[in-house]
Amino acid sequence: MVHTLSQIVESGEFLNRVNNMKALGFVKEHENMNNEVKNFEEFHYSINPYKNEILKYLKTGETIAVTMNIIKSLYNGDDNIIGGVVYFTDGNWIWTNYLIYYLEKYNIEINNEFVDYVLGKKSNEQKDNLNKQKAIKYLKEMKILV
Amino acid sequence: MNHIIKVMAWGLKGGLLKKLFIVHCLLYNVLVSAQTYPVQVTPQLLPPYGYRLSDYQTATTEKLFVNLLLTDAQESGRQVRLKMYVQGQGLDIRTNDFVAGAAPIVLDGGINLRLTILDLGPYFALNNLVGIAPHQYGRPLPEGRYDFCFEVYDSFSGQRISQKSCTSIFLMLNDPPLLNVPGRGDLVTMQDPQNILFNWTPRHINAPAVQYEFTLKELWDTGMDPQAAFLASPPLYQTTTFANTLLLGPADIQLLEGKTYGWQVKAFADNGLGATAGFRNSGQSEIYHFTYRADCSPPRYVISKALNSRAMEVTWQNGPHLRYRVQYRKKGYGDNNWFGLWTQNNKATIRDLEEDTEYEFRVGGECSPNGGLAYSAIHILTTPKEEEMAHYNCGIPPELEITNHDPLPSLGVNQVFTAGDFPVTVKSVTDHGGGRYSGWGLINITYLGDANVQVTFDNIKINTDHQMVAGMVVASYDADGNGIVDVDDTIDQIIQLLDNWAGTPEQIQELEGHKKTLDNELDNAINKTAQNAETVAELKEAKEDLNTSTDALINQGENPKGESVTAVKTATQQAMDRVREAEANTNIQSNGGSQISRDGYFDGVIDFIVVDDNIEERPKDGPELVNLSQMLPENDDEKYVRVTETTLSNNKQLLVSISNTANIGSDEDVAQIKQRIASVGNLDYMLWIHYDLKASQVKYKVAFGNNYYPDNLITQNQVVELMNDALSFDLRDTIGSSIVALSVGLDDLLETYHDQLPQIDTEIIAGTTAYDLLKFSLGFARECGESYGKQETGLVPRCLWDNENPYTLAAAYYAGFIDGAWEIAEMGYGIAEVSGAWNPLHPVFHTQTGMDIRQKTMDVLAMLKKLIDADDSLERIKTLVKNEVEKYIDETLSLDAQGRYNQGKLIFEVASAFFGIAEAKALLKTGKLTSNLLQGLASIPERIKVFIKKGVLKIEKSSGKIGVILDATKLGMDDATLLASKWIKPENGWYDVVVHGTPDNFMVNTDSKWVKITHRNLVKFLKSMGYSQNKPIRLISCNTGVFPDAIGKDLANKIGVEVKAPKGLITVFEDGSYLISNSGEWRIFKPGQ
Repeated sequence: MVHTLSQIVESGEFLNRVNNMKALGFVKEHENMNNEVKNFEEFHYSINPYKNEILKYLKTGETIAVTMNIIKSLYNGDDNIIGGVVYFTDGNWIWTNYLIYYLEKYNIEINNEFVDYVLGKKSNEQKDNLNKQKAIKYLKEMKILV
Repeated sequence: MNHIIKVMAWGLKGGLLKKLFIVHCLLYNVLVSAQTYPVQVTPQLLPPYGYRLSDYQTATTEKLFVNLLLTDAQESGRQVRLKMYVQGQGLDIRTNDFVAGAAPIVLDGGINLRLTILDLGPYFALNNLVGIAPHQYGRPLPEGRYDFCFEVYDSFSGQRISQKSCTSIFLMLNDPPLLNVPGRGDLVTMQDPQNILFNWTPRHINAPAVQYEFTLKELWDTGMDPQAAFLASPPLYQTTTFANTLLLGPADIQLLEGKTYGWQVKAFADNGLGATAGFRNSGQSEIYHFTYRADCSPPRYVISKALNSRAMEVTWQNGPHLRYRVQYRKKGYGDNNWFGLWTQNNKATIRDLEEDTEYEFRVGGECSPNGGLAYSAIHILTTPKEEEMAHYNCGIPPELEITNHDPLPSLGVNQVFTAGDFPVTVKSVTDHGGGRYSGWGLINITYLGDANVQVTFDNIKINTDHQMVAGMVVASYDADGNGIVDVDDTIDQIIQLLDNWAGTPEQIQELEGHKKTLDNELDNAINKTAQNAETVAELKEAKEDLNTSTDALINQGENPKGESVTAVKTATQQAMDRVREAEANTNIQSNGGSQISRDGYFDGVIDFIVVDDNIEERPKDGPELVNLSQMLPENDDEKYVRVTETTLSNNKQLLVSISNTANIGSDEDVAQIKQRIASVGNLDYMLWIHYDLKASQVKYKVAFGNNYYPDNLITQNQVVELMNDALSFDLRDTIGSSIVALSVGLDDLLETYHDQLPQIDTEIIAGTTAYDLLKFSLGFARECGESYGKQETGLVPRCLWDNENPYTLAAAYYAGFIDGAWEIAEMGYGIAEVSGAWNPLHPVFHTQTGMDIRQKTMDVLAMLKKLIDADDSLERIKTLVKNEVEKYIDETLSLDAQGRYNQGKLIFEVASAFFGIAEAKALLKTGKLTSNLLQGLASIPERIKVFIKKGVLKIEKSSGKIGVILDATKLGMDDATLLASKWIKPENGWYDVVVHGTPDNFMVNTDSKWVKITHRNLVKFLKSMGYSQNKPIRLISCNTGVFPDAIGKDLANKIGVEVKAPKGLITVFEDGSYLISNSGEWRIFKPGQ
């Protein structure tokens, strides 16, 4: 897919590239942001052979922000309240608590790039040189124009 | 009858007169025989009386006898029947003429026939009775007097042949027991092992050997009235007892957490054969119900104090409760009629009590709306007598309710009326009529050392209770000192008077008045400077001059001499100069904040203005160590160095020297002292105090050997530093005595620490040296002298740790820990005593109380160490605590001093939760662990999380923010709220409430479930968390301001302050910043709009 520069800027993809940060598994219904994020129904569900490793990695992320709202599970037939949105980062990726919920319960798809990234990481590597400020800035940019 | 027949036979022989006579006699005989029936009947009833008629039918014990006697000894075999009446209380019950089942009764003349209840049973059978309905028959007779009467009838003729003979009884029913605890609707806190105490009060008066049948039922249907539910439920546990207390212990049936139970007690007196006493309502008490819950404990540390003879204040520790109810009643009025009041903070004032009366009170906490109250144990307080309340609460406006407005008809001198809570003794009064008076009087103020303060009153109204109901009493003595004699004014007046002196009687009287005033001033100055002989002598001389010259002038009368007038002027001026000088000296002497410096040799050099008379050891009435004035030579011109030596406590050598202009560098004695100090023995301690009169300095030097303090507990330099620190702050007495007191006091403190330090958990005092601890102790007084009074809770002065400097990092932590320990062990010392106990310059320090306080504080620390060492499993527990606590606590360490203080308290709470207060006290007393205590320790893991959560809550509170979800015991917690609470940067003037929000509701997480809460619930919660009502609220809560009528508006209206709520989603970032979606704006809600 080819974008013009202005398209990239408008979509927020520009910031992704500039910051070299990546958002993982953001769901449009749960978010209020200017970036292109997928609707919940656009996600696929499949058992990931590395689910446990990925989950473990996701759960040890550093928290950088919370939204004091209440979100409910969007999965068909599941009315559970997940709570407020909590944002995690490892310095390169940003993800949320609802992603962990959907992965744990329903095997929501995870970006292959992230899976490779996690599997390629050595233990304890993730927190090295973690720049929370960069992640916070990125997240603010994603949200600020809304 | 035989008698009549005989008379008739005799009559047949006579004429008419005789017949008339016979008729007369016959009539006479008939009348006479009406009072002498042939049969005597005597009923007898024995107590305990049966309460039901049916009891008599089936009774097996001898309750009723009827004695029958046929008086005619000649007759035998006379067959009779009985008629019985039971009458009283509107009942008139009698037997039928024919009593079915009754045995025939045959009387023989002269022989008493005794019928027992076995014979008489049929007379009480329902079918033989008239006047009683079948449904009444089986029930107890109403209370009151009853007559049991019997008549005897001849079986054949049906004629009554006895009098109606009765016996009276009084039937009285007893009241059923009154249930005490657990009260109706109470929450009973679950304990493991189970330990539920039931208690009731017996109310019977005339019942022997009363037993109680205790019934406990589980109430399944909590929707219906518990009393109805009780009646419809099967018994869960039933037992009988003679005691009025029942303990449901671990061996009994186990109650289930969260269930509601009903209980009832039935009293009965039964000897096995039948009831021996009657009870109202069949002896059944009321039905009480309670809920058995684990998550709502009763308020702890309930303390009370009498505010005055008619009011008391009850305080307790704030817990996870929404609100509290304080119940009280006079002791001995044991029904369930408590008086009560609701409160949402941790104290309540109960008013309108009677003086000198014992009151019972208890405090209940409500953990969920209408979820019932968990009550503390019942406490007792006796209100003092009016006359015992001789102290006043300065600065607290008296809260008087004056209902009597009848004017006092007359008020005389030396009568007393009360203005507020001050009694005014009238010294001069003018009556304006209608209860209104003007004049002046005196108020005795106890806290000013029984000082009398002159007051004036103008047109005040006094009622017949001698209370001031209108107007104002003004003290002649005011803040500007207008009531105090101004010496300068007096001088001006004297000079003016003397300028126009003519010696008139009026002038003489005025001069005498002024002289008296000046005399008083001189006397005061003399008393204040008693230690300085020179000043005193000058003052005395000035006084003498003044008196002599004034008297001379007065004696000259209206022919005054000019020089006499001048002499008085001079004497007056001089007297005043002396007074001013003396005052200046006194001020300097009593002024703390002396500068302590060190010179090349001495450890401390202190400037003085007035030299000490002597050096004495504390306490003040202790022995005089050195008399300095005796060391001075008689001839002051002599150059001298004088040295003396004595021994202090702990075998310390005290060397004291004094010098004037002599050079101590060349003095032999001084050289010797220096030599001794340089070569101080390994186990010796030397303190040298030198008075340099030339430089007006006191110098001191400390030296001790390496083994004087074991284990190198403290260095010489550290001791000096501590001493100089304390001296520069609190030099409240003579300098030499203070140096001695400090030197000895530090030893006492060190001793306490040295004995106890090894006992204390190393983690608690990690990185802290004896020096640190001593510095901390001395700081009690140093930094906090004034702020004690303002502190509401806590033993350790807040000012000591509630500020940010590296030193207080540890102090806040210890302060919290000590407070926690102190509270749990209830040692009962006042905060002032405790501060004194840690300050060697304070009088309390050297007393037994001071020693006790220090010892007990250390005991508490040692206790924890013992607990932790008690069981191997504690290692595991410790790790668990550490892991669980660390993720919150470590972060909070960087928050603020309050956070660290709370952390200290939390650690103690965690520890103390494993054992009861009684256990803690026993441990303190005996130093031994009990099996109960060890059992308690085993239950640590389950409780830990609760405590951690509580601790986090407190810590977050301390930062001026509140995370609603952190109310662990009720609402649980979730990461988002926890993090947002921690991260959000406070905004000046706003109180942050962090909670998940929607336009219509707030949402909280409780035990992993999400629950909606209304603005009302939130207000309750905030109040219970100590939110002070006047601060505007900033809602860190999504969408609560999205519409003009969103829930933020309801909150503002309910709580009555301005509320600021986000117009969209609010996201809080780790750096403390936030973003609001949509416009990024806040909406301000003002109450009432």
